[in-house]
Amino acid sequence: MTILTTPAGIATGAADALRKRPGADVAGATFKWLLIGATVFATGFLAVLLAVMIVDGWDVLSGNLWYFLTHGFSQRSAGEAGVWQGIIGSLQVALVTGVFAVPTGVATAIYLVEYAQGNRFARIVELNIRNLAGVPSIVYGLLGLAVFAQTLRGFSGGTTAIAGGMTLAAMVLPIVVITSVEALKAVPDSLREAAYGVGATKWEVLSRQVLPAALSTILTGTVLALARALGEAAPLILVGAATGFMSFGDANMLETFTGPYTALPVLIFNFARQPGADWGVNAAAASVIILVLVLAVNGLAIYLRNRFERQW
Amino acid sequence: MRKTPFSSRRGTKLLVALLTSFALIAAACGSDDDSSDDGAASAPATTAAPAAPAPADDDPDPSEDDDHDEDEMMESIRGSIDVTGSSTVEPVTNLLAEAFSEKHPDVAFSVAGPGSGDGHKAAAAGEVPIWNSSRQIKDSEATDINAAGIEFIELRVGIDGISVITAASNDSVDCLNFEDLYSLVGIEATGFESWADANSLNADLGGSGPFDDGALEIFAPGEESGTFDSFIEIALEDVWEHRVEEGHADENFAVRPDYNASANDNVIIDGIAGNQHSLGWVGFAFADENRDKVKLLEVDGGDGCVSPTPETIASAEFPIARFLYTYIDAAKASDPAIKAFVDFMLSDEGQTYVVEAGYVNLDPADLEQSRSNWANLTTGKTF
Repeated sequence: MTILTTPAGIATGAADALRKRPGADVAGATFKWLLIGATVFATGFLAVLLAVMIVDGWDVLSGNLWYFLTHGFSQRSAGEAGVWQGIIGSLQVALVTGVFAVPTGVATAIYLVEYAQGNRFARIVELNIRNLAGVPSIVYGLLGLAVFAQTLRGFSGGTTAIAGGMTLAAMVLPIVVITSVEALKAVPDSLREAAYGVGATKWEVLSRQVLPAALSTILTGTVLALARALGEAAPLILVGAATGFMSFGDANMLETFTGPYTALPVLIFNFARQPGADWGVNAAAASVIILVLVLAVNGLAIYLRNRFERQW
Repeated sequence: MRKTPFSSRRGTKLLVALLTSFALIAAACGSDDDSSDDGAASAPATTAAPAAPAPADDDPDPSEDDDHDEDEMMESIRGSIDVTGSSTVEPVTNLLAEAFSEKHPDVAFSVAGPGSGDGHKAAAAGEVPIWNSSRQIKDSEATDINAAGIEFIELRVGIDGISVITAASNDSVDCLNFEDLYSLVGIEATGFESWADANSLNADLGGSGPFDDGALEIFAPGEESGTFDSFIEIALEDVWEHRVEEGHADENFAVRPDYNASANDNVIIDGIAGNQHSLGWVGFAFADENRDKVKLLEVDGGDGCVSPTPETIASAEFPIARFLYTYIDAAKASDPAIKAFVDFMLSDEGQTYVVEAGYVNLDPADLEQSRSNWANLTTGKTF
């Protein structure tokens, strides 16, 4: 006799009951196999992609990976080219993106959910933000070139890592806002009401109860948004990321934010268009590296979520 | 104001601090640029003196003088050089920038290759001091740049020449014109398996056929290659567009899809050499190195058959060739880093990188014209 205490136990019990009447749940069984098929297709596709990249890039990944990671772009031959500046540039751009997108996005979400809840202005803003999430990234590149690189030249220094990071911040801002809005909406109203009930001010309710409760989901959302930004090439190329040779010159670490920059996806784009098979090896190896980087970022998101998660 | 929607005051302060520091960095860099411009403008004579005669007059013992210059420059030259424009010219600039950076590691460098038109646009927006183009600047582009208050110096830096090749053992063809090339490799030639298949199309186009028969095997660069694009633009486009207007040809594709595409020039050369009646195209420099395996066909661009040689390409007699240009913002020409880089580009050593990138060196007269444009800071279109 199955003990019907856990959801899984209830499901197993229900399945047992159904099994007594063969053919009773054809639709359910079909649906289950469709779901399994979709899962296999999705993961299989990823696995094939990953396998192809690792096989294609094996010469670099197995041979001179350290050289590849620690040297800059070289036109002389595929074997002399590395991705060092791309890794630095991607981290710089991601940092700038985070600095601009996360506070702005989370603040917007808090306003929409906690202050403007339900009013017409908030609904219009939220609808527009959701639509913005579907705008192609190249459009953000045009915006970044016109606004962050040209109009705000005095702040960003022109086509720099700051301009690139701000462009990607504008691109991922809707994602940050939407995930933060959902996170705040998921905090039960009973929590707010209980806090108000013992005499807390709105600020105390927000800072002591609601935000800590929503933090893990907000963090997951923002880190996933940063992972998306890490993989973008098209907007950065428009905002002047170097596709070819670049060097930082004698700039110190802070100055590199306002000097020339590049990013891993931009380097992959460049490797892929060079004639010759050995450049393709570089492109595949760099793709694996960016995948590892994005996996690391996603891993961080999962760690943060588990660290701060609260069960209701 | 107390209901500020950040999670804590510390977070707010952190954000403000970060924004302020970015603003300060930006301001500091801006003033750096200004001061270096001023410094260069006030002392043009000192920077011009050692570098200007280096390319032309130091023939007796250039290496010693160059080393001397480098040692001096290594300590002094700082700054930032941004280059954008043609993706065709980008490899040359990359090689130049790499060699230049080894001598002057303090100069920050950024090379991009979005396209010739994008380069001229970036110049009109005042964004770059140096931009490349795989064609001469259009009058409309020059007007836009001048309207932004920018004068440009025009330099020819090299030539992108393309050779049409067949197997060295193939005696049945010596010279092809643009109509012949279209009837063999154009979109309407899709499915032609022998040279004779192309005869009726060739006759329609008024080509030089009929061709002697033989199995037509085509080896050429894939469409990601700049050589592929250049070949279409120079050799096929006129005939193809005419055929599109008449409704015979597909308006999206100029080249037949059923050929052996390779990004590796060696594979193309081997394929051409291994098939007696093969046909294909590669960059001139590469074909020239393999004259023992492949035959470089003469091409008739309307003024008779011309054989591809460094001389006929440099003089633009050979029809499938185009000049590569670099443009410089005249106001930035006195910047020490930019001056040193352009000097290096036009030096004899710098010109070797044109060949290393797979292109052809300029005719001496053209190179001299570029050098004198640069030395005299001559602005506007000069070629």
